[in-house]
Amino acid sequence: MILQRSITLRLALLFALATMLLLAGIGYFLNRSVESHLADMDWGEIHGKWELTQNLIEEIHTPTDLAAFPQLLEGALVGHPELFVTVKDQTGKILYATSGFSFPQQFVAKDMNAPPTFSAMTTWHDGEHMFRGTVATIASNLAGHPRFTVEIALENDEHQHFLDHFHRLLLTALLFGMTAAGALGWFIARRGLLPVRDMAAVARNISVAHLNERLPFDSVPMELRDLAMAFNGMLSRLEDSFHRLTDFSSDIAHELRTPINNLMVQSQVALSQARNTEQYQDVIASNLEEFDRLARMIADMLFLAKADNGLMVAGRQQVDLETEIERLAEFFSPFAEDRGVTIITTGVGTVTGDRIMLQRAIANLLSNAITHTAPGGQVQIRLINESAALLRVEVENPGKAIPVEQLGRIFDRFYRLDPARGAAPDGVGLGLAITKSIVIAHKGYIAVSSDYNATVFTITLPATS
Amino acid sequence: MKILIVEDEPKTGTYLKQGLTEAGFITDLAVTGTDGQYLALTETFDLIILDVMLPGINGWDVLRALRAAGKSMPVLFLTARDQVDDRVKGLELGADDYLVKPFAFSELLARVRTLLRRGKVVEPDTLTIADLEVNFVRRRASRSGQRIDLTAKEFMLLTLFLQRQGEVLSRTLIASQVWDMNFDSDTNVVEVAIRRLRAKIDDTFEPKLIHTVRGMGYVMELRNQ
Repeated sequence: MILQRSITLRLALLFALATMLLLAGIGYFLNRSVESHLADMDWGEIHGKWELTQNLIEEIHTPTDLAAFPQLLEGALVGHPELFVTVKDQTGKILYATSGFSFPQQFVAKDMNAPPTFSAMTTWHDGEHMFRGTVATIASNLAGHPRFTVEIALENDEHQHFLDHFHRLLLTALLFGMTAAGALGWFIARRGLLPVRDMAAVARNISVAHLNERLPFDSVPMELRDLAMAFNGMLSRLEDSFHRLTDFSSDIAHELRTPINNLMVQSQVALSQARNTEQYQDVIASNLEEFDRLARMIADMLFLAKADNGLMVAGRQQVDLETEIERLAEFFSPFAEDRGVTIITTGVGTVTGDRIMLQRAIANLLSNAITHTAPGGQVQIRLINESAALLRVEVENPGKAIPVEQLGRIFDRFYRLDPARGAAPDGVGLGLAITKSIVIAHKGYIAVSSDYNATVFTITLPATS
Repeated sequence: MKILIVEDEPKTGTYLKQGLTEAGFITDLAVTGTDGQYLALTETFDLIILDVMLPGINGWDVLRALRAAGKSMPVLFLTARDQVDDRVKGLELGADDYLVKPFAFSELLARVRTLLRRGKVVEPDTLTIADLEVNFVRRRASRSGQRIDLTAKEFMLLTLFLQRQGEVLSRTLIASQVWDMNFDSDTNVVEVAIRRLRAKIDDTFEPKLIHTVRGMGYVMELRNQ
């Protein structure tokens, strides 16, 4: 439905409907008061003539007076063609009647001596004409005629015409008002929705190059703040993800450039003049080292790409982490001893997953921990049964605190604590990212905390009881 | 020992052929699946190295045809795609091993030797090289008659070197075989372990037996100089 799609149209129609109801109400009351005012006026006229007739009747004292009465009444009614009067005596004999007019049959006077009231006024129609009238008895001073019945009617065509005209006016006003309200409503709704259009314009301008643009919060009306806030929030998240992605791409380029540059320059220099076998061997061996680094980086990136696409499925083996950690400690111990670092392992625990992946995840943490521990230090790997369902692996090493702003990015790809890229002796800065993706593939999570005396990496995994 | 290499990438094919020839094998190179299948069906080979993505017939179809024709020589697959599905498919079809590019040549050589040796060699109780003697039953090593004390892992490392005399062993292979560490280690953990082993069996003796091959790994052999 178009109504559901257009707020402007819906608002315009609602405006029109409201205006119509309002105008109809006002019209109804106006009509009522005009009609009652006209009735009052009619009554005034009828009442006046009734009083006149009463006065004339009261003047009748003798039969001569009675004979002169029709003449007198006729004279009093001259110039009032809209007035009709009938006067009867108590026997029903007509003493006077305006010619060419007959009162309806049911128009019967009650026997009373009080003057008629407004509520005694009746309204009736005869053909196209409308009449108002009343009937009453008047006590007489003439002997033998105790009372006369007087019927008075007023033809109020003029009022009727006025009312008809008034009704037409009201209807026109109603229709015009409705149309005007609809049009105004449409205009107001459009104006009211202008901030939304502005928001759309800002949104339209946001592209990859302008991800830092935000909706101007101050100029947005209160009702739209929630929307603007949600929209800005979404932009922030997008910007962040996008920056990470861009960083990642430029990091890849940077990381590839170094070994490839080494390979090119070395090979070019080697070929620039004749050399002995030993020198050639040296160049090729050096190239091999670079190739090895490249191959490892590609393998790591593929691993992460697979993890990103949810293609890395952790196996469902039972992995005894205590055994794995002891094995890792044994593997790393000559390396650690060389640096004067001891490795201490504690705890037991079993998880379901992929043994080789978990081994790799913990090995990365352990290798980092040993590398960052000063001689004489102690690296601890603890297995802690958090609960029946959760197992925690903690790798702790003493050392300087990692600044908080770096902790947040520590699991990012190619992120190194040392901003001088390439300073890392080996490895390409993907270790922690890989560890994190392995942990996630195992439905666990990884955290890091660091203070002035130790850095602790904590992997939490669903435990197998 | 005769090996058929089926590989369409010219550089890879040429270097594989050269490397394997220099390692003492007789090799044939086919550059399409069709040629490879024809050669494999009409001649006798002890082992086939088969690339998966080939023009003509792909590696899987070649393997299927070979097995259907009753050829049971070991087949080593090479591929640039490291998908579990691919691996499973290859192994289901009867491939014997699987190497993902890029791979170290020493790794390929080691796999080829293992496949060719499979089921043929009875491991002797004792292996020797020069004046180094290792008895696996008694778990004892000695050089020039002098008993050498080794840790369990050092003993395993030495055993690996002795069993693979003359083969270059990569750090990854050593970590996997001795410590069951199946990932590429960033750190020079293996280097330290080798240095410790050398300190015990090589430092105070002549001739040196463990040699570093730069960029590739380590080899145990008797070099004359």
